[in-house]
Amino acid sequence: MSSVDAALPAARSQEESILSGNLRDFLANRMSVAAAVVCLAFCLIAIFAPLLAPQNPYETDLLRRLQPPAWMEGGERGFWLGCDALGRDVLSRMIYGTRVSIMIGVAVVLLATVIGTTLGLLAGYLRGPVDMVIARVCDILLGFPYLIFAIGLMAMMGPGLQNIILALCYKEWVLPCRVVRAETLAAREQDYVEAARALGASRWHIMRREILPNILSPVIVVATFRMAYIIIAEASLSFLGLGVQPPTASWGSLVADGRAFLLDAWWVSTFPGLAILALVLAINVASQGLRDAFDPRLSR
Amino acid sequence: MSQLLGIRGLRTTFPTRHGLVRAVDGIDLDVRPGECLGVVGESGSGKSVTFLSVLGLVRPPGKVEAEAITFQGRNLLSLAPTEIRAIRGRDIAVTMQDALTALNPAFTVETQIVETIEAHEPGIAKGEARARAIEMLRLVGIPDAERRLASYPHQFSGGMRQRVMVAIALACRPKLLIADEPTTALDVTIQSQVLDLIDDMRVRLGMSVVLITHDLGIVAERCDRVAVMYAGQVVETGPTAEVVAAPIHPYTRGLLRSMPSLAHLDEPLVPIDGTVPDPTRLSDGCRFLPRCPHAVEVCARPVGLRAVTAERAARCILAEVAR
Amino acid sequence: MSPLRLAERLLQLIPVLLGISVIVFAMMALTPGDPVQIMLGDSLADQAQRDSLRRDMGLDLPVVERFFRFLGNALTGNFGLSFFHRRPVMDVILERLPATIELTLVAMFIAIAVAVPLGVIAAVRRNSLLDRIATIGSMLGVSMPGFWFGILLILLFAVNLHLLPVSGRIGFGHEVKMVTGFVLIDTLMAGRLDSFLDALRHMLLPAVTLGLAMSALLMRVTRTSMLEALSQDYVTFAEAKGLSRVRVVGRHALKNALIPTVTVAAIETGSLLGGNMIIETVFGWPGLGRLVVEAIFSRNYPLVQAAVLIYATTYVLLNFLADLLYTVLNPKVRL
Repeated sequence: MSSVDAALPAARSQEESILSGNLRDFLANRMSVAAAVVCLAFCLIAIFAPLLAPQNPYETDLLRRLQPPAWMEGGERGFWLGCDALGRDVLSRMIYGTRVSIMIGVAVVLLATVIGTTLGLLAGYLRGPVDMVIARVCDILLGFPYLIFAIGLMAMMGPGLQNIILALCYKEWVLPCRVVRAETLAAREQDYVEAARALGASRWHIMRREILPNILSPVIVVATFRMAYIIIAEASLSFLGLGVQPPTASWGSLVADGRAFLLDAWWVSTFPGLAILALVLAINVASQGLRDAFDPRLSR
Repeated sequence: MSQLLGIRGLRTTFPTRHGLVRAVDGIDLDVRPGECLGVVGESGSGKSVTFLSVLGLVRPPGKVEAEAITFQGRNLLSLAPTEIRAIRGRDIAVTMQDALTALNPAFTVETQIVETIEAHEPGIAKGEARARAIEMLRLVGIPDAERRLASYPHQFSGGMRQRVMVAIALACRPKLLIADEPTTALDVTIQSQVLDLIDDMRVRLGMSVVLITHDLGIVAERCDRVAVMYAGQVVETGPTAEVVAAPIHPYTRGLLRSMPSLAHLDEPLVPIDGTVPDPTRLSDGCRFLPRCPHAVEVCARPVGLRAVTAERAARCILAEVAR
Repeated sequence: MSPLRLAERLLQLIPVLLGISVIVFAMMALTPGDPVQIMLGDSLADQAQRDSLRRDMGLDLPVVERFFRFLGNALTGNFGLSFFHRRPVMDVILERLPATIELTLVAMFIAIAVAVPLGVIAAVRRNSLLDRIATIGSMLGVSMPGFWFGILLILLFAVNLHLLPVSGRIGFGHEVKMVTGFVLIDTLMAGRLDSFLDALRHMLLPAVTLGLAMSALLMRVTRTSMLEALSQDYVTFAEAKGLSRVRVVGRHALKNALIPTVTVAAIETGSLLGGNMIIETVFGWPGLGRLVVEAIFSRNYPLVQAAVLIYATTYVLLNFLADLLYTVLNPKVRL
């Protein structure tokens, strides 16, 4: 990662040049760039959902109940991917569902990364009892299968956007925490940290300004590939009915909506699921590229 | 014909992100029956790759080309994979630098010796192969050989582990042993024990040994002939005594001067200035040119290996002077 | 591993399990609202009935005491009564557990049987067409939402092709007396080969769905560790000994590569537990996972609590087992 024996300023500039080199490596990987573009497109869809959705996603119309996609017999222009059991436009609900998926994914990962990085820094740098307590809590939380923990929490807290974010965060911070702790343990022995300490820098200063910038790339890598998992987790919760509350559309609940009508309306479940797959796949491919470029130790 | 192994025009290349690495670039070498040939050079000079190429052990995308590689009169290049596999381990054996990584951590020593014997003598009785394994361990000086058969490699000390590797290599009584840096991973006190063992085995089994090392001192003590390698090429060959006494190539001279000698403790050690050239950007001329104190204009043109005497050759214009 | 070391490792599990029970207890205790009110819902219970239920559940006691009662009861397998089923929670759970275990084991088996050979071949033929297909496939596998994949399989094999049943564990007329609770074993014990095959047909889609993500991950781990092993000196040395390619790859490299693979497999089997809830819901599989989902909607909290605790304990034990397997497989650690 950073040079071991260089003095402080040298370490910095080297770090910068490695970062830009990494960016170049990432951009050279066409697959990853394409995947990143797809991710970006989904973000834009989420932001401009009201402009893009051809119909009102909440407007029910029993005359359009289970209406097939536009290209099929009985389909209708403007209702491109057909309608669900209440006659709502599937495509429009999917477009609005993008908002839920991306918002929850970003919120959970952001929150978990901030919490996990802070605790990981403290545990790794201060060690001693602080480290002990944090490590124990991590161990205990890791003792729960991920979805079970979230499902248990959702069962108790009840559905809702805020609750999902909390339910997923409660355990999610453990991963960045562990990564940051390990990196910090390694970093605190490095010369640039020793040098800062010798110069009389405070512990906060060292943690924030010396160690944090140097361990940022594994944190980013972990955050991006966890995003994919969070989106699947949210979709799974919503599929079980433990996610956002109806009538808000989430990809997971859209799939669930169509489950009872598989025989005569395959489109209701199929298209939202395809959207989940596309976004998660894009994130996974992009984060793989990021991993290869930024952190060779984590790759392969 | 006094050659066991003959290498002519060997070239091994590896394509990398930064360009083609010419790891071995036009090597001619002979190994004679019963002799100990020292191959000296810095790491990255192509010593190990040369002999991996001979055995067909260079992994793709590495590419091996040669005019001829003859072993006991057979051209190894024209052999089918099964035929060359039959030669590996049975006729030409290899020991690697570090037995800790060369021995498989997941298998006992017994398995690793017996499988070698079984590979070359299919149908051998289990008991007989085991007896041979014990005999080999005794031969290389492992105490309590029968019991140690059941041990895993990590349960041996470094020196003993190296002996185990030698035992495995010699299990099928090869005609040629390629000992790749057999002492680099060892403590100084154990180094000479392992070298003595290899010497002893060479005499007892009547085989030839190629001793690959970066330590000219070891070669001077133990090898009949020496080949000095630099940047994928042989730069000087000849009988060890003559080369050490009167080196021709400036690189050989540099090596000798940078080597501590008991006889001349008061002489200062002189390191060779400069660094080894980038293997992706090798010039057509003499590769030692940037570091050579005697370099002149013609050195930028291709330099071949020039015979000095019937036994000696050097890849340097100074060879003309020496003749 | 020495017995002493084993005992030490087992002891280390205690604080983790204790912490887990604290959290599970807290999940319930900190739930906003009156649990009795929530559980009884709109039922017409009078105040006296409510009070007696509150007492039965120990809700009138201080929190710390309630926790220790919960812990003591949990250790003896007593999780109280399931109002919905009018039977002890543990009985209901035990009844559903075999179906879940059976499905998980079959899924694990399928995942390993597909992933390990594929990973090995992909590593040996690195950058070949097969390697590329396998790599893309594993990327798709980890990105696939399980519930949707299950629905696609139902659409294709059950709804359109009519090859396999849509849901359930065994077909009408194939029911046999349950002895072990494992339908594949029970049908064979009853000597009903036709029923066994029917049960297998029911199991195929849910097991494949459940195993998909695991096999995708396992394949990647196998490929990576195999590539790692193939680049080691001991592989070159084994080849230099004149061993056949099959032996070098199949024994020397594979045995080392399997160490991480087996460890990941054991850990991932634990993760399948979470997937169970979803897959069992999709396929109407009468296991613990579906029971829990139903319990959540019927506000059967004691059952949810018990199930989460059981899942977490199993998960911890599986991870412990993974650790153990790693030590057993790796002669270097055995000392």
